[in-house]
Amino acid sequence: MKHVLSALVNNSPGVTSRVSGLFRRRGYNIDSFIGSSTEDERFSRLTIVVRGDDIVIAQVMSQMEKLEDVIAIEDIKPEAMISKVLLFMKVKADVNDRVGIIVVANACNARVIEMSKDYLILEALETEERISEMIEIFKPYGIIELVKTGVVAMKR
Amino acid sequence: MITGAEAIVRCLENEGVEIIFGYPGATIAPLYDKLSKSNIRHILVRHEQHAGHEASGYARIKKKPGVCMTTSGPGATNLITALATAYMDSVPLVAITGQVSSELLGRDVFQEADITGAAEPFTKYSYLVKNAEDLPRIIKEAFHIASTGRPGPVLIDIPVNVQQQRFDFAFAGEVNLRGYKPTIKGHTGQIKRVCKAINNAERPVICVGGGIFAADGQGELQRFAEMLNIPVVSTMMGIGAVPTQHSLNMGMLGMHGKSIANQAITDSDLLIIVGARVSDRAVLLPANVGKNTKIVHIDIDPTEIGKNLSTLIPVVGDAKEILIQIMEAEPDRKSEDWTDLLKAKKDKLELDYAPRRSGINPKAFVNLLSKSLPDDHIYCADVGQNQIWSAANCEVRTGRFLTSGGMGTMGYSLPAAIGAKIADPEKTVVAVCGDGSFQMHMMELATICQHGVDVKIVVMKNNKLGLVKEIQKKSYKNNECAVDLTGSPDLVSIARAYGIPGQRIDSMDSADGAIAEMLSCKCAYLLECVVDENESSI
Repeated sequence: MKHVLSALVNNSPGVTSRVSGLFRRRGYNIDSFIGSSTEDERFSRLTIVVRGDDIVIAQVMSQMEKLEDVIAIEDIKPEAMISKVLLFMKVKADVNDRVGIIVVANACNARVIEMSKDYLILEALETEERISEMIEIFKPYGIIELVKTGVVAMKR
Repeated sequence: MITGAEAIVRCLENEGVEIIFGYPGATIAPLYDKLSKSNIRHILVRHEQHAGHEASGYARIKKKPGVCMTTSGPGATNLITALATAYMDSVPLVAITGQVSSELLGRDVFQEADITGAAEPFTKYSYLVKNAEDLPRIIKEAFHIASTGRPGPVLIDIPVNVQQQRFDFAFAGEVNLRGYKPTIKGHTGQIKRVCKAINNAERPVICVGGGIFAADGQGELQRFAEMLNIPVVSTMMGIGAVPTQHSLNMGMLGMHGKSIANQAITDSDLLIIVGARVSDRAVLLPANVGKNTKIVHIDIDPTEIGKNLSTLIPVVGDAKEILIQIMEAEPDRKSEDWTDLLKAKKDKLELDYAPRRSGINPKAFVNLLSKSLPDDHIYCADVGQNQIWSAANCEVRTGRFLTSGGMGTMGYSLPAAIGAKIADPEKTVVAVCGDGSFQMHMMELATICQHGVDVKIVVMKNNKLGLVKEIQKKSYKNNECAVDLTGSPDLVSIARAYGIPGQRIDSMDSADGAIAEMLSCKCAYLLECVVDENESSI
């Protein structure tokens, strides 16, 4: 089961390495790991998606809390969460496919941010599930390259 | 179906491994069980750190990766200093550690240590094996990574259940690592630029480091220097790349180096660095070099170029290949005055070899010792004043000078000597250390006895940690603290307790005889040389 952990940590060198080292050392499975600055420059926010049953997650939480640099950590429940993933996707699009792709992209709530004679670059900001579906939808056209962020989440 | 342990042994045999230095324990027991049935010889050490150092000495002489093996937890953590030492000096090692069963990882069970994490800054690469089926590929990759490009230690951490896991064995195919493709040949455009710089230089100097040995390019270097009549200085790791008595060799540079070598660099208008990191010990004020000096830096590791000195012409690749490429491009240097000037200065250097009122003169002694040894001897210097005495005064002709140059690890010389002797039993191998460093590796006397390793041990005994004492004298108002080694045992008696003959000398008058006796001995020998505690390193 996936859990989204949101941790407020000290904004100092080596913190990311300590947290990711903990996950590696203890063998926890990470789906995604995002770090960013916050409204307070002393702190950073880590949003980590981890897989595991409740016992494992409880262990992860207490191991994280034990780190001197971790100020607060929360397991955000899906019902109390807004979460998004940002996707950029370069899709093959020659003259024949172009219009079709744009129509599908609109239906998926994705925007065309660049266009050339051979390909389109799409941008989408959606939930993780919607992003995964979208990738499947565009596969038949030929995905040249894609890049996406991990989950960023906030408690309502 | 075979077990992971059997697969490891087969893969090691397939890599041509003949010797493993190690120390057993519970989590590596399955591998030991299978190793005992193989032709690979196991050298039981007395401390895991020395398994790493012995593998290092072995690798440097054998020119292929040294293999060491320990158990999990403390066995693995004890190895870290040796990994760091090898990493700093770019020595190829493959270190195998046992690990607790994979389902217990991360639970802090008995003798669990996160060794891949702990050793991460000190290894070129590391693996934690989760499935025995990955072993053939991982072992092949490990040897490839350790020995190619800039060599270094690779760690393979293998949980005990993976060693016991049965699977269908097959050797791995060709290694193909997308993120790892070392450059060997130098860029032809850069080679042309180097030639032009040489042609235009009036005062060129070659600075050679340990990379030349990794490339096995000593012969090419000497040919290059002779062809263009360019003086050579070396870092500590580069000692012996060109014989120390060669007319073009101006000696070691740096903090503890020869003034003529440092002067040559300062006065030069072209510095050709070959396989050297130019660390703080080698070039004291990097900012001052390069103002009037053009720098050519040849290194297989592009991250070394420009790290400590700003470089005009970087050439990435294997030192030997690049030297050949440069020679084939036929650079043509006319000016000879510079080299003659340096040679003349060198001839006038006065050596401080006068007898001392108390104790031996260690500088004169190491010089005499190296002159008494066969041309191809292997000289292992430890760390401390003894290292500086050795580096500045021993003669390296066709043999090797082995020391822990980067890490400065005390206790390196004897295990390195053991590894070197096992790698090449025909060679005369000496370990020269101080009484401080000796007490960091003296447990290896048992390894010497058990495996009949004929190494000669010279201990410079001044009852002090001499180099630290010197620092305290110079920078801490002579506040001598924690450098007194009172309480040390009688080293000759210690050796005798192991069945190793030896003697103590306290004057240069007995040096010749003692060296002759040591060298005529058919087994290991310990020579304790009394040195005055106020003897300076330079």
